[in-house]
Order: sequence, then C-alpha cells, then structure tokens
Amino acid sequence: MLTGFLLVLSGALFAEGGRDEDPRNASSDLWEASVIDEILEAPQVSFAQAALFVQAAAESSVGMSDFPDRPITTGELSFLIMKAFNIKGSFLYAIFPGPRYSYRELKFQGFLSEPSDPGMKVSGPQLLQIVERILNQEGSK
Amino acid sequence: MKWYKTALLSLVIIFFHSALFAVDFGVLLSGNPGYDSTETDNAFSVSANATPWVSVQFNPNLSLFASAALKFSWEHGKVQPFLVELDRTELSWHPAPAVFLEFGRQQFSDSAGLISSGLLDGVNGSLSVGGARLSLGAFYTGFLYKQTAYITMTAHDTIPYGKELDYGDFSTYFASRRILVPFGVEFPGLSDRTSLVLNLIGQFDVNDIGENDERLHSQYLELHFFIEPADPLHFNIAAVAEMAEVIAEEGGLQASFAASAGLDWELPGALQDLLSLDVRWAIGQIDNETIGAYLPISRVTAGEIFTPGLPGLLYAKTSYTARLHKTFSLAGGCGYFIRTDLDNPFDAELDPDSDSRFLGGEIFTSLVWAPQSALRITADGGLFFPELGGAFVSDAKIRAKASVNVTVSF
Repeated sequence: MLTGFLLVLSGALFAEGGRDEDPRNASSDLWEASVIDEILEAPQVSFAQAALFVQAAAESSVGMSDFPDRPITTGELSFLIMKAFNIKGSFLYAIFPGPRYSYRELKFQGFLSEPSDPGMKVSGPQLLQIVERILNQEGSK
Repeated sequence: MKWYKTALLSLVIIFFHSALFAVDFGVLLSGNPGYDSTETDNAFSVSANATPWVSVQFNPNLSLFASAALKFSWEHGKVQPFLVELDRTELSWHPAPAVFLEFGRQQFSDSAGLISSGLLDGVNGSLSVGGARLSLGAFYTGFLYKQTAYITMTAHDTIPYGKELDYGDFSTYFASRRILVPFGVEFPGLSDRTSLVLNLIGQFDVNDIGENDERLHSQYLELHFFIEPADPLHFNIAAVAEMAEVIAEEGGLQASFAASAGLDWELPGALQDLLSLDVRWAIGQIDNETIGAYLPISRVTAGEIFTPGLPGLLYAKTSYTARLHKTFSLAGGCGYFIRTDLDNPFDAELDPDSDSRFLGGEIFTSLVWAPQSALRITADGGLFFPELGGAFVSDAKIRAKASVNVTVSF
C-alpha cells in the first residue's frame, strides 16, 4: 500500500509537464527513499521540511528565505502550496493573502482531508497526501 | 451549584492542558429573496442572515464547534422579529478509536429521514463493535426556537406557537418540550453489496401542562436496507412502525406506518450525472381504533413546491442532477402526489366534494454555483399543477415558488 502510494506520488512528480529529468538527480536529493521514509514517519513535519518538499514538487520558489524548524500548521502549508503552485484563490484571498484563506481554498478544492483545522500540525503522511492530490490535479490540467 | 463548578473546572483543565489548541473562526453572510404564490399577504419575501462560528481543535481527539444564526427578514408583507438562535454547537470527543461522543446542539436524523431531522440538544455516542456500529443518544427539544424545530404539535402546543416572538417573554420563543432517546445499530458491511440500519427512537412529552391536556408519547422502529446491485446503481428501502399515545385523547395507543424507497443511478460520463427515483408514503387517518395517522417527531414533508406533511400521502418523484462544471451543478425533476385518505392533507383549495385521490404533479429545478471558496449561489424554483389531479377546486391556480440564496463566507 505504502509502496504503491510512493510510486503514485513519484509517478505524478515525474509526469509533471515538461519535466524529463528525474528530480532525484536534479537539484536535491529530496526524493531519496530515506527522505520520504523520514517524512512518512514524522508525526509532525517542520516548516523547513514542508517548504523544501512543496517547492521541489512545484519546481518553484515561494520567495521565502527563512524556514523555521518549528512544526508547520495546515494553514501555513496551504499558504505555501498556494504560493508554490500559483493557485488563484478567492477574492478574499486576493485581499488578505495568508494561511486563513489559503486553508479555505484548499479545503474547497478538496485537497485537505476531514477533519482538518488551519491550526493543526501536519504529519508526514498528511503532507504527502496533500501534495499528491495537488500534483494529480495539476497533471490532469 | 457543585456540578456547575465541576464543569467549569473541567473546561479550565482542558483549556490549559491543550495549550497548543488551534482556533478558527468566521462568519457566513447570506441574502435570500424568494417568491411563493400561495402566500396570501405578499408573495415576495427577503431575508438576510449572519452565522458567526468558531472552531477549536484542542487535540486530534477533542474539538469544539460553536455557531449562532441571526436572521432579519421581511415576510408575509411585514418585517418579522429579529431572530437570534444558537446554531450547531457541539463538543466532539474520540476517547478511543472505536468510540465517538458528541455533546451540545447537533444535527440528528434517523437513517431514512422519516421520523425526525434537525438540530437537537443533548448527547450522542457511538461505539464500533466488530462489523457493527452502535449509537445511543438523549436529546431535549425545549431549548429550540419553535418555528425552526418543526416539532409535531399537540393541541396544547399550538397556543404558545401562535404567539408572536417577544424576547421579554421566553414562553413565546421555545418549542414544545420533548425528550428523545434514539438507539441505532448499523451493519455497514452486511454483505459485499448490502448494508442495514436499525433505529429505535422513543419520544416522551415532558411539557408542564394540566392533567387534561394532551401529551404525545411515541416510539418508532425503523429498518433501512441498502443494496448496490451493480456498481453505479444504489437502491434503498425503509419501513417505520410507530406506536403513539396522545394522552387525554380518546382511543389511546395507536400504531401507524411509513415507508420509503429510492434508487440512485450514477450515469457513467464526464458530467457525473445522477438519476434518482424516490417514493415516500405514510399512513393517514383510517376508520380503525388500533391504527392511526402517522405522527413523526418533527415535520416530514413530501414534495418540493407543494409541501404538505407526509401522513396520508404517497409521493413519487424523479430527478436528474448534472455537474456541468467543477463549480456548477444543475438539477431538475418532477413529482406526483396521491392522497391515501380524504382527510389529508389540509389545504384551503381542496374541493370538499371531491373523492379523488389524485392531488396533482409538480416540476422543479435547482442550480448551485460556487465560483470561489468564499462565494456560493443557489437558485431553486418550480411549479405545482393542481389540475393534473382531481382533488382541488376546478379554478385552483398553478402554484409557483422560486428562491435565490447568495452566501459569502468570511
């Protein structure tokens, strides 16, 4: 089950439009099995881990220079994803860009599992699941 | 006051023990213009609603959600009293993986929606044992607002119900006092393609009234069976047996029955279409001492445009729903009403000299458009044609209803 999930995730990552390079060979060793295992086993993912993972998945930079080591919340992860994947939010997100309306946007689009809360800490499996859903949708566009 | 102090202390302990709890809050604002041709004072109405809410996640197993409903409306040709209601407000607790408890004002419905549905105050718990899920609750209706509770009323209940809302006199606000005790057993995997739900619900009238006034006590047994004969096809059938006792009324204990059946077919295709067929029935008044008209706990209606109570009716409808886009879905359908006795339903335009069982048919449509996470627009409307039956007076006009709802989520 876990292997299948990782294969799906890896497949989705590799199938991203225009990318013919294996990210494992690219800029970082993020996709090494040990790293993914570490994320999967993490009860809480740090802001820095999540930021690196999301940015690598999106192949973008969100323009943040300082990633703290404290645990990341669902709201913060949602904001990171909105930035990294250039997701257009609601008019309220356009006025008040931040974790609050980012969380609502991802929940509205079905990327977040229930029950969830913007202040909840994100576990490793949750991070992988959310990023997988986003990559699946990006891939289907 | 000891229990009060203990409860307060428990809350403080939970609060500080969960120092890293997460809080979210917001408010839903909505506007709702509508049209109903059966309204005698003024067919048009408009309401503005605000629903502030707060959600607190103490830990993965304990959360609190609280909300209120504020309503300002112009209906029946005049401004209605400003309405303040406590909306869904519940503490949810998973003390163990197989155990779930909810305290507070929560949504409750029997499996088939033939007995009771709506907000109730109380506690509900469930326990998963093997392949079954057991649930038990205890609810009270006396703190609900009378006009949104839709509790089946006795003759005594109609007196406070008829009084205009006055915040200086709380007896004009609250619904009839009943205690409900629901017990349920679910077998979600009865076999590969079947499941079964059993509901037992007891209703006890605890109104503070005189010995000669009516009290309504009732018990319900509901069986709801689901079968999936093929993958996109879902069929369900439900039956309810009721024993009701209206004390101070002649006749005593009476049995009654209701039933429903439904078929959903998820049509293959990109539009995620759904074709539904539904039939509902409840026994009406018959000339029998031991069998009487069906009395649900809260009002159960038939129909979308013509919405009489279900007792004494057979209602069949079919509808088609298409999700045309990720943000837009459209539904349309038609239904037909047959009365099973000549005393139900009550309607001013029914012909007292007609013994026709056929009441007429209706068509309806609805659309939902959620272009953004913060904005949702719904529109509903339809027509009821009394001339498609023979029970209404010959000059009864076509009835029309339409409404629009715009909700912004801050």
